[in-house]
Amino acid sequence: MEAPATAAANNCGPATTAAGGSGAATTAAPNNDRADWPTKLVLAAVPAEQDAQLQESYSVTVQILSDELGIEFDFFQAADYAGVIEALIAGRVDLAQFGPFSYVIATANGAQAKPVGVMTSEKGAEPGYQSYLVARTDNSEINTLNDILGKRVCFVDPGSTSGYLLPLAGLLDQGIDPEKDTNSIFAGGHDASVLSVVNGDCDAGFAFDSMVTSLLIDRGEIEEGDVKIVWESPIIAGSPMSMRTTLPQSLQDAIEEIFLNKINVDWAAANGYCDSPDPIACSFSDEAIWGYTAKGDDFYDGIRLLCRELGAERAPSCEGI
Amino acid sequence: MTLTEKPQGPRTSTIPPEMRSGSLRPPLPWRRKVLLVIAAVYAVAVVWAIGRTGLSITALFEGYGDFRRLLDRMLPIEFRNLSQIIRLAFETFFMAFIGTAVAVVISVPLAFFAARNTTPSVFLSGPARGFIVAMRAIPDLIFALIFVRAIGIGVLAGILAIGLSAIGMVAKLYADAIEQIDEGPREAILATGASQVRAILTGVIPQVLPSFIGIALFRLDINFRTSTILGYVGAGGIGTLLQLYLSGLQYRKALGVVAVIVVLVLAVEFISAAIRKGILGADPHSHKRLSHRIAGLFPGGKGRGNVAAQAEAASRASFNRETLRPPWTRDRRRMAIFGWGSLAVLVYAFWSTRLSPVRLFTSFGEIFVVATRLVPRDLSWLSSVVVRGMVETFAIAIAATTIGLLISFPLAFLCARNVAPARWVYYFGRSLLVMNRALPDLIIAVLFVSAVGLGPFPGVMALSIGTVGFATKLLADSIEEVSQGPRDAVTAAGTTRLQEAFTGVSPQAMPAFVSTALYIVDINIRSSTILGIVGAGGIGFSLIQATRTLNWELVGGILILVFAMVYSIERLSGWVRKQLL
Repeated sequence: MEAPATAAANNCGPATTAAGGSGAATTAAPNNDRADWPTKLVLAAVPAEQDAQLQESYSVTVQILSDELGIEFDFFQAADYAGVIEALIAGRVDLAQFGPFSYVIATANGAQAKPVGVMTSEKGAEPGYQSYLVARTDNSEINTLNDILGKRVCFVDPGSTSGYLLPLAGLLDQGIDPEKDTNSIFAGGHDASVLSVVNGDCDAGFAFDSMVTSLLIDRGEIEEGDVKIVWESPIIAGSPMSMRTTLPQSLQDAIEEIFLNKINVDWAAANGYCDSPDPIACSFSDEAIWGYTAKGDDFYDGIRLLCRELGAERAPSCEGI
Repeated sequence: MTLTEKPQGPRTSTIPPEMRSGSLRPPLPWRRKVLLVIAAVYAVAVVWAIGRTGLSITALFEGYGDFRRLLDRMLPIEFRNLSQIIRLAFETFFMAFIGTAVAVVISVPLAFFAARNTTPSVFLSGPARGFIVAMRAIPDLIFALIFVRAIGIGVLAGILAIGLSAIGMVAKLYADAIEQIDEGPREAILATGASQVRAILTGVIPQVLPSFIGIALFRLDINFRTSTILGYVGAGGIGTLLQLYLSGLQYRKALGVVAVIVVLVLAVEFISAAIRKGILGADPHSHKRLSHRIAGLFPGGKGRGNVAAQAEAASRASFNRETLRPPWTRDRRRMAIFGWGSLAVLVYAFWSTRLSPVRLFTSFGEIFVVATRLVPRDLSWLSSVVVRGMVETFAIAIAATTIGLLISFPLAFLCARNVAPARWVYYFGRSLLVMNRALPDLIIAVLFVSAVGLGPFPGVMALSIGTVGFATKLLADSIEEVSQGPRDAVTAAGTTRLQEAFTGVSPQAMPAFVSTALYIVDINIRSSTILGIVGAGGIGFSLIQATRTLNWELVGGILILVFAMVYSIERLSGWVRKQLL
């Protein structure tokens, strides 16, 4: 059986990666002032909204970080962000990968954190994703956003950015109040929203882009062409890797340098961390990504603005943002 | 009354050799030896589990500041949209009510198939028992997730999740009740030439009816509380609102919702206690006395109450068909009012949730289709992540059960009506228990995550606290059932209150304590799967993520492992219980 480990060292995620060899620490540190660096760091991840796959993920990211910093890492995963955010606020998590809305909520609730990088699918691409409104292809009644008046419409859940907040803003722009003008239902998940449309529980439903275009089709849940895309939202800022800003400045600089220059398929493949420079071979995250791109806290001002426009009355999860 | 057993001392010739040495200890047959080995293995398992989950008292103290800071953000409780909360709470209550009805309807035949003394064939009792355990092994949240995918969103998925997971407990307790009956009435009826079915209807049902009703009412209480979490997956009810507030970290409003649930749970508990008292007799716990009372209500029962006497007198006077029917005594009227009342609430529940009873039954076909997709075709789903998660879940359950019971044991004495040092202690303790049971595990888990960081450690703490409310209630209930005699005897011998509790109460309540402890391990394995939601360790993260990403084979594979674990513990605990009782 497994040996009892030190406090919380083993977890459901990939096991703790021991600090890489002897000389590893010298690469990243810009100076020798490592006296105030902790001996262990904690990385936590919540599957972001647009995540598709469950795999032995983050292993390469954790490996590169611990090799470059010479610091041992604990890695944890959670299905919901509340625990990770509270741990971040309490300073018990140092790096947290979660969705854009989680980042906004975390900072609004007193987490001292900033993005060190944002996931991007291709080198140089703007990190982000979209929300779609779909209807059955054979439903000739629904072709634009306005056609959902008086119809049964599936949203995801009230705390979802692409499954509720952005669709709500889009509808209000058109002068449609979903509470009064439609029969709105919370489906509880992006997949449930789309599947409810296919099986007729809803006339139209909102979900994030890849759920519609690839995930459900790959899984054999729907056939290509079962649903049509009626509306596309503006781009939503992608998922950040957030770093606790109460860490020593020299360590923060070192971590940022690693995320922006080394955690990408090109560097990782060139340095032997993955077999080939492609997102599947390099398992950086539970999503297939190229790597991280630099974005500041203001990248998420769009979501904050959206929340303030909608107000706490319409979007209760936006309160306090 | 005093202890009636006479010491066996005088009959010197039959004293076994181990007693001749002058020792007063009971002999040590091989069964006791095996039990000691099991106890030793358990002790080792606890030590291992504490190490595996990284429990640390110092970390707990160090985290106190963060715990307090988060608690400050959670209090005071805020009530927003009270009318909406109350409306949703009632919707949830009706979901729980229909769910309980579904569970009872399925459990009754299932229990008769599973019970040793009524099963038509051993080839049926095995599968029936397996099915019951399977229902208990699957967490209700996972049921809800699957049903939402299978039959669409809304209350139906929630009701089925509640109903099916309740079968695991209801059918098991029903089968236990059937196995405890007095076989006399049934044999008497069979001797008249009645069929097996008739013998069960008139010889068994009247005996087990009080237990059946009591169990159903207890489960309604549990279902109401667990249904609050189902909104998390879009299965309707007040959980939707709870999830909304939690997702925005608005703990004050979330706790406002919890407060409304506490009030309603208290109301349900009060009403069901009144019902139990009213129709089942003044002492709802004493099974024997209950069945005796109820047996008096039915012709052919073993009761020799005034009912039978009246009937006999009437039949002697003049024979007419009327006298073959039991008269409308006060008890029978109460029973009828309860029966028709429940039916009325059920009809209203269907009406208010806009659910068609037909749809309830047609949905089983759709569920079957999804269930077949859960069957893994090979072992490709079995990864090191899954194995590690299962080991961790087991460790969390063992550690949490042990800690929870250590807290519950002394607490139960304060919460038992007949032992509590003062009335107010009893009422205060019982209200705290209700609050504890209504508080969602996830909120407690988040508090501990804030204090000690992510991982299995906060999971153990949350589950331990969650265990206390449930275990203390069960333990206190069994303390209330102890007989007063031995207590009076030791008190007369001049014991202190504490000594009396140890020597007069504990030994009598011990069998119930053991059953409760073993039952709690079982429950905790299942509950520990939801802790993965907030990153508090265990298999839960993989299970929920697999359901979200529609990886049905992985979901099925993990559920099979959970089932195997729960089933092994069930078999082991059944054996241990038999040796001890």
